[in-house]
Amino acid sequence: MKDNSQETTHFGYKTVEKSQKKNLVAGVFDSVAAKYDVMNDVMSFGIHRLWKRQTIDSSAVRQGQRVLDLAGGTGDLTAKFSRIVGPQGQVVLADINASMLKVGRDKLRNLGIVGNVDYVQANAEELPFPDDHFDLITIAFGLRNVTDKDKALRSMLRVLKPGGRLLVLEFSKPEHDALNTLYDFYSFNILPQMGGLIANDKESYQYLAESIRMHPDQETLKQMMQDAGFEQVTYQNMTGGIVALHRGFKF
Amino acid sequence: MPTQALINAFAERLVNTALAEDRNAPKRLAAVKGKTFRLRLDMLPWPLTMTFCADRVFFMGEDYDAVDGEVTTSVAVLSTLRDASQVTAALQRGELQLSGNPIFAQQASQVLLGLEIDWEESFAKRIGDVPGYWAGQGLAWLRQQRPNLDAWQQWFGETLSEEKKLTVGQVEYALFSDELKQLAQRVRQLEGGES
Repeated sequence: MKDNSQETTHFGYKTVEKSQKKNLVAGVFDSVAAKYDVMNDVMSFGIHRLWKRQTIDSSAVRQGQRVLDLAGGTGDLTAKFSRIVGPQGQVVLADINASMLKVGRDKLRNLGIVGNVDYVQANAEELPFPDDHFDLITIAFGLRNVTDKDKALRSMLRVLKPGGRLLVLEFSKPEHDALNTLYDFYSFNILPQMGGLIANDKESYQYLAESIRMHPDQETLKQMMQDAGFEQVTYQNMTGGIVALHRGFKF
Repeated sequence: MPTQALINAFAERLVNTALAEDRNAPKRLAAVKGKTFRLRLDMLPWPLTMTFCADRVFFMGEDYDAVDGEVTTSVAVLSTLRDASQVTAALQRGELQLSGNPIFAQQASQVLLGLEIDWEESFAKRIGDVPGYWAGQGLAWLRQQRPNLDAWQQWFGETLSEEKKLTVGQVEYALFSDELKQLAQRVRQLEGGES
């Protein structure tokens, strides 16, 4: 008998062939790329900026270091990392989606951020970088869209320098039931409507809400990072656990 | 966390707007570029952590752990960071704790303490030359009405040390130091005599 779990994966609440997910996710982000920043601000009431700020605080990044901003999308983290690492450092903004990468590149160039930022279209599962290459890897709101998360985590471990750290910022499971209920109502009733209104794309935002629910919770992701080989893995809940920042090291 | 991040974001915006208006800011920032300074003030619930870039300052959270220098002090003593000799005296009095290079601490504090903004020019860029001139003049008048901060600090220090006797004054501290040295010398002589 064929083991279907090896061949299928989640796309929101749907079960799809693993080979299909990449294209389906690409379709979502092709559709939302142009309005991505506006929607992030509207959907999170601007709080996503504070979550990203906390990610940078936890990075210990400094001048001259090499940073990979994976699934970096429109480059919020890259913009700040670029200024901190300075001209001797390097930031690679990588995203599997060409539309998102283009929006990010245009935005950063308009901000005058050039010189130490490279743009790479890359699949997190098969990162096209040498072993032990980066001091820091961040993946913010990207891991849940990856088809094979374990493979992606192993790939990140490979390209991270010994002593380097991985930061995973991702939606997670709220700590309190009341907040969970409220959050569910918001995600499945209000968020797709806002997506329809602002980005003219209700379905993509329905997928985003579903993909958040299908993403591993805090403890599961911590275990996945440990299984991939990361050490001293910890996580920090933010906004009641709606978002969690996981941190792991390679030694 | 969100409160701290929110306040840091606000402070960052405020400081960088001010630095953009200060012609000498790039020179002061160049001296500390790429480094991070942490300031712990007794009146603040969390430390101010500043990472300096060529044209701006980033306010980081207390989780940021790649810090090059740290100063712990009170607001009243903060202005002593302008003067190297005063820093030494404040260190000796225990009013200021410093880790890292003292020169870096001084350069880092100068980024903010040395702010000089031509308000007339700054207002003129936004609201036009004539209203800018009057706004600048109004601000200058307001600043003249403001109590002299240094005088207040001196009064505060003297009240604590001379009138209220809550802390020792410089003369008392010097006398105490001399007495301590003499005592140490006598102890050494006694130890020498015993052996």
